[in-house]
Amino acid sequence: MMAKTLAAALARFTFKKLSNIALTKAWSNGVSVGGYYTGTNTDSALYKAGNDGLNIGKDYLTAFVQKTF
Amino acid sequence: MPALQGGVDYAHDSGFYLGSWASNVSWPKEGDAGAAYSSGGSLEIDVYGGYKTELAKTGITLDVGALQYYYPGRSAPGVAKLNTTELYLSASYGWLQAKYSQVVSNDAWGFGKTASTGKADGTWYGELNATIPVGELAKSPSLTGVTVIAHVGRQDFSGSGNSIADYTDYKLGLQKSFDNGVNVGGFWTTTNADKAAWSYDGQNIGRSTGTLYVQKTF
Repeated sequence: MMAKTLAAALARFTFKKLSNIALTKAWSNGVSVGGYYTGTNTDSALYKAGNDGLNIGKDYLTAFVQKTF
Repeated sequence: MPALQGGVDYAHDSGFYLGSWASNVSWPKEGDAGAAYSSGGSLEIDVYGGYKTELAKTGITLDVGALQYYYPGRSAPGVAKLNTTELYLSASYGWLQAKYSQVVSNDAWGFGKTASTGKADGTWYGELNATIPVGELAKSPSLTGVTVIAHVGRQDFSGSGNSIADYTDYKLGLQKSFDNGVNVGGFWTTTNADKAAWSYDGQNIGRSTGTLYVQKTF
Protein backbone atom coordinates (compact mmCIF):
# COMPACT_ATOMS: atom_id res chain seq x y z
CA MET A 1 0.00 0.00 0.00
CA MET A 2 2.76 2.37 1.02
CA ALA A 3 4.72 1.43 -2.11
CA LYS A 4 1.71 2.23 -4.29
CA THR A 5 1.27 5.59 -2.57
CA LEU A 6 4.95 6.38 -3.05
CA ALA A 7 4.82 5.34 -6.69
CA ALA A 8 1.79 7.56 -7.26
CA ALA A 9 3.59 10.47 -5.64
CA LEU A 10 6.69 9.92 -7.74
CA ALA A 11 4.58 9.72 -10.88
CA ARG A 12 3.39 13.26 -10.25
CA PHE A 13 6.95 14.56 -10.02
CA THR A 14 8.06 16.50 -13.05
CA PHE A 15 11.77 16.52 -13.65
CA LYS A 16 13.45 18.86 -16.06
CA LYS A 17 16.16 17.03 -17.94
CA LEU A 18 19.11 18.80 -19.52
CA SER A 19 21.66 16.81 -21.47
CA ASN A 20 24.75 17.82 -23.37
CA ILE A 21 27.49 16.27 -25.41
CA ALA A 22 30.61 17.91 -26.77
CA LEU A 23 33.45 16.92 -29.06
CA THR A 24 36.62 19.01 -29.31
CA LYS A 25 39.78 18.54 -31.34
CA ALA A 26 42.77 20.61 -30.24
CA TRP A 27 46.06 21.04 -32.08
CA SER A 28 49.43 21.94 -30.57
CA ASN A 29 49.38 25.32 -32.34
CA GLY A 30 46.52 26.42 -30.06
CA VAL A 31 43.70 25.92 -32.55
CA SER A 32 40.62 24.03 -31.38
CA VAL A 33 37.48 23.15 -33.27
CA GLY A 34 34.45 21.46 -31.88
CA GLY A 35 30.77 21.31 -31.36
CA TYR A 36 28.29 20.65 -28.63
CA TYR A 37 24.65 19.77 -28.36
CA THR A 38 22.38 20.83 -25.52
CA GLY A 39 18.97 19.24 -25.21
CA THR A 40 16.15 19.55 -22.74
CA ASN A 41 12.73 18.06 -22.11
CA THR A 42 11.34 21.35 -20.83
CA ASP A 43 8.13 22.67 -22.36
CA SER A 44 9.31 25.43 -24.67
CA ALA A 45 6.03 27.30 -24.09
CA LEU A 46 6.96 27.67 -20.43
CA TYR A 47 10.58 28.68 -20.92
CA LYS A 48 10.73 32.01 -22.65
CA ALA A 49 13.26 34.59 -21.56
CA GLY A 50 13.44 38.32 -22.08
CA ASN A 51 11.21 40.65 -24.05
CA ASP A 52 12.12 38.98 -27.32
CA GLY A 53 10.67 35.66 -26.12
CA LEU A 54 13.94 33.78 -26.56
CA ASN A 55 13.16 30.09 -26.17
CA ILE A 56 15.56 28.72 -23.58
CA GLY A 57 13.76 25.37 -23.50
CA LYS A 58 14.78 24.24 -26.98
CA ASP A 59 17.64 22.08 -28.18
CA TYR A 60 20.79 23.69 -29.49
CA LEU A 61 23.71 22.64 -31.63
CA THR A 62 26.75 24.90 -31.48
CA ALA A 63 29.93 24.74 -33.54
CA PHE A 64 33.03 26.70 -32.65
CA VAL A 65 36.60 27.43 -33.61
CA GLN A 66 39.09 29.05 -31.28
CA LYS A 67 42.73 30.00 -31.16
CA THR A 68 44.73 30.27 -27.94
CA PHE A 69 47.94 32.29 -27.86
CA MET B 1 43.20 12.83 -29.35
CA PRO B 2 39.77 14.52 -29.51
CA ALA B 3 38.03 15.27 -26.22
CA LEU B 4 34.58 13.74 -25.89
CA GLN B 5 32.41 15.05 -23.08
CA GLY B 6 28.83 14.63 -22.06
CA GLY B 7 26.47 15.07 -19.18
CA VAL B 8 22.90 14.87 -18.02
CA ASP B 9 21.09 16.84 -15.31
CA TYR B 10 17.74 16.24 -13.69
CA ALA B 11 16.11 19.09 -11.78
CA HIS B 12 12.90 18.89 -9.79
CA ASP B 13 10.55 21.83 -9.28
CA SER B 14 11.28 21.64 -5.55
CA GLY B 15 14.87 22.75 -6.22
CA PHE B 16 16.61 19.40 -5.81
CA TYR B 17 18.83 18.28 -8.66
CA LEU B 18 21.12 15.42 -9.66
CA GLY B 19 23.61 15.25 -12.47
CA SER B 20 26.59 13.54 -13.98
CA TRP B 21 29.27 14.59 -16.42
CA ALA B 22 32.08 12.59 -18.02
CA SER B 23 35.08 13.27 -20.21
CA ASN B 24 38.13 11.51 -21.49
CA VAL B 25 41.23 12.89 -19.76
CA SER B 26 44.94 12.21 -19.88
CA TRP B 27 46.68 12.00 -16.52
CA PRO B 28 50.43 11.30 -16.79
CA LYS B 29 51.19 7.59 -16.44
CA GLU B 30 54.14 5.69 -14.99
CA GLY B 31 57.22 6.51 -17.02
CA ASP B 32 56.07 10.11 -17.53
CA ALA B 33 57.21 12.99 -15.33
CA GLY B 34 54.76 13.49 -12.47
CA ALA B 35 53.07 10.15 -13.11
CA ALA B 36 49.69 9.93 -11.40
CA TYR B 37 48.52 6.54 -12.67
CA SER B 38 49.89 3.05 -13.23
CA SER B 39 46.90 2.17 -15.35
CA GLY B 40 43.70 3.90 -16.31
CA GLY B 41 43.55 7.62 -15.68
CA SER B 42 41.91 8.26 -19.02
CA LEU B 43 38.37 9.01 -17.84
CA GLU B 44 36.76 11.51 -15.50
CA ILE B 45 33.25 10.92 -14.16
CA ASP B 46 31.65 13.60 -12.01
CA VAL B 47 28.46 12.94 -10.06
CA TYR B 48 26.74 15.72 -8.18
CA GLY B 49 23.54 16.61 -6.44
CA GLY B 50 22.18 19.50 -4.50
CA TYR B 51 19.44 21.94 -3.75
CA LYS B 52 18.91 25.31 -5.36
CA THR B 53 16.41 27.90 -4.18
CA GLU B 54 15.71 31.60 -4.16
CA LEU B 55 16.22 33.24 -0.80
CA ALA B 56 12.84 34.69 0.28
CA LYS B 57 12.09 36.46 -3.03
CA THR B 58 15.22 38.59 -2.74
CA GLY B 59 16.49 37.61 -6.15
CA ILE B 60 19.42 35.84 -4.47
CA THR B 61 19.73 32.19 -5.51
CA LEU B 62 21.45 29.80 -3.13
CA ASP B 63 22.88 26.49 -4.29
CA VAL B 64 24.29 23.88 -1.94
CA GLY B 65 25.49 20.45 -2.97
CA ALA B 66 28.09 17.73 -3.16
CA LEU B 67 30.32 16.70 -6.03
CA GLN B 68 32.31 13.49 -6.49
CA TYR B 69 35.17 13.47 -9.00
CA TYR B 70 36.00 9.90 -9.98
CA TYR B 71 38.97 8.81 -12.11
CA PRO B 72 38.95 5.05 -12.71
CA GLY B 73 42.34 3.36 -12.63
CA ARG B 74 45.25 2.46 -10.36
CA SER B 75 47.29 5.29 -8.85
CA ALA B 76 51.05 5.29 -9.37
CA PRO B 77 53.04 4.15 -6.29
CA GLY B 78 53.50 6.88 -3.71
CA VAL B 79 50.91 9.17 -5.27
CA ALA B 80 47.77 10.29 -3.45
CA LYS B 81 44.45 9.42 -5.09
CA LEU B 82 42.90 11.71 -7.66
CA ASN B 83 39.34 10.84 -6.64
CA THR B 84 38.00 13.84 -4.75
CA THR B 85 34.81 14.67 -2.85
CA GLU B 86 33.72 18.26 -2.55
CA LEU B 87 30.89 20.18 -0.85
CA TYR B 88 29.91 23.55 -2.29
CA LEU B 89 27.77 26.58 -1.58
CA SER B 90 27.08 29.38 -4.02
CA ALA B 91 25.04 32.56 -4.02
CA SER B 92 23.97 34.29 -7.22
CA TYR B 93 22.34 37.65 -7.76
CA GLY B 94 21.66 38.77 -11.29
CA TRP B 95 24.97 38.61 -13.14
CA LEU B 96 27.08 38.08 -10.00
CA GLN B 97 28.01 34.78 -8.38
CA ALA B 98 30.13 33.82 -5.37
CA LYS B 99 30.99 30.15 -4.77
CA TYR B 100 32.92 28.25 -2.13
CA SER B 101 33.92 24.59 -2.53
CA GLN B 102 35.65 22.49 0.10
CA VAL B 103 37.22 19.06 -0.21
CA VAL B 104 36.03 16.55 2.38
CA SER B 105 38.00 13.52 1.11
CA ASN B 106 41.54 12.81 2.33
CA ASP B 107 42.99 13.33 -1.15
CA ALA B 108 42.39 16.09 -3.68
CA TRP B 109 43.36 15.51 -7.33
CA GLY B 110 46.62 13.74 -6.45
CA PHE B 111 47.48 15.91 -3.47
CA GLY B 112 47.19 14.19 -0.08
CA LYS B 113 48.85 11.78 2.28
CA THR B 114 52.17 10.46 0.96
CA ALA B 115 55.60 9.90 2.49
CA SER B 116 56.33 13.63 2.25
CA THR B 117 52.92 15.34 2.30
CA GLY B 118 49.86 15.44 4.55
CA LYS B 119 46.14 14.80 4.06
CA ALA B 120 44.42 17.32 1.82
CA ASP B 121 40.94 17.39 3.37
CA GLY B 122 39.98 21.01 3.93
CA THR B 123 41.40 22.08 0.58
CA TRP B 124 39.18 24.85 -0.76
CA TYR B 125 38.44 26.92 -3.82
CA GLY B 126 36.68 30.27 -3.59
CA GLU B 127 35.56 32.21 -6.62
CA LEU B 128 33.76 35.34 -7.74
CA ASN B 129 32.17 35.36 -11.20
CA ALA B 130 30.50 38.12 -13.15
CA THR B 131 28.74 37.86 -16.50
CA ILE B 132 27.88 41.49 -17.11
CA PRO B 133 25.28 42.21 -19.82
CA VAL B 134 26.83 45.52 -20.78
CA GLY B 135 24.38 46.13 -23.62
CA GLU B 136 21.34 45.69 -21.38
CA LEU B 137 22.78 47.81 -18.58
CA ALA B 138 23.89 50.65 -20.85
CA LYS B 139 20.66 50.50 -22.90
CA SER B 140 22.78 51.40 -25.88
CA PRO B 141 21.85 49.89 -29.28
CA SER B 142 25.51 49.83 -30.28
CA LEU B 143 26.30 47.60 -27.30
CA THR B 144 23.41 45.15 -27.81
CA GLY B 145 24.62 41.60 -27.20
CA VAL B 146 27.88 42.67 -25.57
CA THR B 147 28.82 40.76 -22.42
CA VAL B 148 31.84 41.17 -20.17
CA ILE B 149 33.01 38.09 -18.29
CA ALA B 150 35.19 38.37 -15.18
CA HIS B 151 36.42 35.71 -12.77
CA VAL B 152 38.82 35.49 -9.88
CA GLY B 153 39.45 32.29 -7.94
CA ARG B 154 41.69 31.12 -5.12
CA GLN B 155 42.79 27.48 -4.72
CA ASP B 156 44.26 26.60 -1.34
CA PHE B 157 45.56 23.09 -0.64
CA SER B 158 45.56 21.75 2.92
CA GLY B 159 48.18 19.40 4.31
CA SER B 160 51.88 19.82 4.87
CA GLY B 161 53.87 20.12 1.67
CA ASN B 162 50.82 20.67 -0.53
CA SER B 163 50.71 24.46 -0.39
CA ILE B 164 53.23 24.67 -3.24
CA ALA B 165 50.22 24.03 -5.50
CA ASP B 166 48.18 27.00 -4.18
CA TYR B 167 47.28 29.61 -6.77
CA THR B 168 45.04 32.50 -7.65
CA ASP B 169 43.53 32.54 -11.13
CA TYR B 170 41.94 35.32 -13.15
CA LYS B 171 39.84 35.49 -16.31
CA LEU B 172 38.60 38.50 -18.22
CA GLY B 173 36.54 38.15 -21.39
CA LEU B 174 34.38 40.01 -23.86
CA GLN B 175 31.68 38.54 -26.11
CA LYS B 176 29.41 39.97 -28.77
CA SER B 177 26.30 37.97 -29.66
CA PHE B 178 24.46 38.53 -32.93
CA ASP B 179 20.81 37.74 -33.68
CA ASN B 180 21.80 35.11 -36.25
CA GLY B 181 23.28 32.85 -33.56
CA VAL B 182 26.90 33.90 -34.09
CA ASN B 183 29.02 34.79 -31.05
CA VAL B 184 32.51 36.24 -31.33
CA GLY B 185 34.69 36.85 -28.33
CA GLY B 186 37.93 36.53 -26.53
CA PHE B 187 39.26 36.04 -23.06
CA TRP B 188 42.50 36.28 -21.15
CA THR B 189 43.47 33.99 -18.30
CA THR B 190 46.38 34.04 -15.92
CA THR B 191 47.46 32.54 -12.62
CA ASN B 192 50.26 32.93 -10.11
CA ALA B 193 50.67 29.12 -9.98
CA ASP B 194 54.12 27.79 -9.19
CA LYS B 195 55.72 26.68 -12.45
CA ALA B 196 57.36 23.60 -10.90
CA ALA B 197 54.07 22.41 -9.38
CA TRP B 198 51.94 23.04 -12.45
CA SER B 199 54.09 21.97 -15.40
CA TYR B 200 53.02 19.07 -17.57
CA ASP B 201 54.91 17.67 -20.52
CA GLY B 202 57.38 20.55 -20.20
CA GLN B 203 54.64 23.17 -20.41
CA ASN B 204 53.58 25.57 -17.66
CA ILE B 205 49.82 25.06 -17.58
CA GLY B 206 49.38 28.02 -15.25
CA ARG B 207 50.82 30.53 -17.72
CA SER B 208 48.91 33.51 -19.11
CA THR B 209 46.94 32.80 -22.26
CA GLY B 210 44.68 34.72 -24.60
CA THR B 211 41.91 33.03 -26.61
CA LEU B 212 39.80 34.24 -29.52
CA TYR B 213 36.72 32.33 -30.65
CA VAL B 214 33.80 32.26 -33.06
CA GLN B 215 30.66 30.22 -32.33
CA LYS B 216 27.57 29.54 -34.34
CA THR B 217 24.44 28.16 -32.68
CA PHE B 218 21.80 26.44 -34.82
